[in-house]
Amino acid sequence: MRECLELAPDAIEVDQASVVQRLGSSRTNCENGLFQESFTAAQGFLAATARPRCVVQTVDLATFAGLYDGEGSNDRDTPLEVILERSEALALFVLTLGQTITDTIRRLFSEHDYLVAALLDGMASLVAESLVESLETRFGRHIAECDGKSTTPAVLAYSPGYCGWHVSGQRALFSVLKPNEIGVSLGAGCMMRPLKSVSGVLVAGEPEIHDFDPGYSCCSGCDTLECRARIARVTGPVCAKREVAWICSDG
Amino acid sequence: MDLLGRIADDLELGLNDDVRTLVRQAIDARLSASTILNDGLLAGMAVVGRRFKAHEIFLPDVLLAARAMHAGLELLEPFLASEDVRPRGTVILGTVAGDQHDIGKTLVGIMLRGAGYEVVDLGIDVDPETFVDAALEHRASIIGLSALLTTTMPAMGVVVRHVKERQLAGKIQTLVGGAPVTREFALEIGADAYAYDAASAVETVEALMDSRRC
Ligand code: B12
Ligand code: SF4
Repeated sequence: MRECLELAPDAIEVDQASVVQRLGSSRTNCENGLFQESFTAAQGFLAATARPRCVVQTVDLATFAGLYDGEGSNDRDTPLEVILERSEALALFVLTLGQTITDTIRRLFSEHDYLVAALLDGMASLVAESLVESLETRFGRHIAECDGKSTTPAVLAYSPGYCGWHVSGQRALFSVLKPNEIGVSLGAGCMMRPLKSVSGVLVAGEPEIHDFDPGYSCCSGCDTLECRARIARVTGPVCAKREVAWICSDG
Repeated sequence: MDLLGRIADDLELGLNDDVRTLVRQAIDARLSASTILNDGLLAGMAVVGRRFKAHEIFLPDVLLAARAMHAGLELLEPFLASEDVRPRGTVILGTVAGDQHDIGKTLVGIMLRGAGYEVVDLGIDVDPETFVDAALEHRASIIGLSALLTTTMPAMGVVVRHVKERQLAGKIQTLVGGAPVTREFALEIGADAYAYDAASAVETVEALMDSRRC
């Protein structure tokens, strides 16, 4: 399966508390009138300039294992290696919000509309992250439909640059996925253009396969322990599923 | 409260239209541009900086105040030039070659301007030579380098090397920062300083400037 998807701008939602937290504020609700004005303005720019698109393509384990090694720069042990062995299905993805939103953020900064610009930047990052979660949900449903099962597998996205998978692994990922249709390219420094883009692999399987103890070499210097919340999303009592109405754009 | 105190207070609240009006009044009252700058705008920003560091206010408040500072500064600039008022120092900022991420260094620039420095922001994906050329052109003593990914960080080392190869070490100091950058990495590439975030970048620039005065 390979599909190109896009999202109608009115399907994008942002939650004010998360955006404010993203800007490093421990206050999640700003009463300040100027803040509210800026937030509303940033929401308007988000709706007008974000153009979420993605490419998703299933891969078999052998192909993925080949590209996971990338340029040989991964940590000596990584959680994903172990997770892969027990996975049921895999799909590569690249998702982007497009270039216009980044150009708009830069323009707002240059016009000294600093707060609107920073809010729009925070919103864009949050939207990109949450849309990856929506791809997890969609891929889970796709597998259940293909297998004719009533239960959907637990799907989590893993990205180069996180948890021992070296960021240069994006080169191998791009060589297989070739996300040209959505206008994402990879520069020499392994940075994607447009900036607000995410690459990775969707890994489907039983919830337990995603669970592990953070004792890998990458974990010693990790102060986020982000994996804990991600694992809880699929193994916890309530599995939060993010649904958005992606539309197939490749006919 | 006097005019300068009101400028500082309104700036703290991010009231850019009011700050603009008050600065205009101060100019009309023939207060010197340097007095308006130092005792009005910069005094207000200094309080904002202190309160931000103490976690009494947050980034949104700082950004509103910075916009108000800009509104006042815009009116003041021609007068500052005619009085020959110099900034506290000049800092060249940019994101290194191969890297497109800019909000981090942009925030550092906003905070430095708020502390009275002149900032020349070269943008993203900046070649090593361009950093050094810009520092010479603008007589800047500090180059601030930003990177988002471990794969673009090595370009910071190239800039540091260029500074040394062009016999400018000591005259031009390098300051590095960005999400994956660490103090250890800064030491490894021979950069003069590292700062974790925008608030500590201001302190670090101050310390670097002070070290030159001694
Ligand atoms: C939000 C975010 C994203 C967003 C937006 C990215 C963007 N650039 O706009 C999205 C979701 C799109 C994203 C994507 C990716 N991301 Co990301 N992302 C982050 C996150 C969570 C925050 C970055 C951010 O915007 N911070 C807010 C700004 C204001 O902070 P900042 O830039 O760090 O700047 C502050 C300081 O660093 C410092 N500073 C910055 N510059 C300078 C300069 C000087 C001179 C000084 C003194 C200080 C200084 O002061 C600033 C203000 O306080 C970080 C993790 C983290 N906690 O930092 C990961 C992080 C940067 N991402 C990471 C990765 C790997 C990626 C991807 C490669 C993942 C993938 N495979 O898709 C992609 C790359 C995108 C691309 N275009 O190529 C890694 C990078 C590490 C690495 N291995 O190289 C990080 C560190 C997460 C991690 N693994 O720990 N990301
Ligand atoms: S502890 Fe940190 S580095 Fe280790 S797996 Fe969890 S998130 Fe990744």
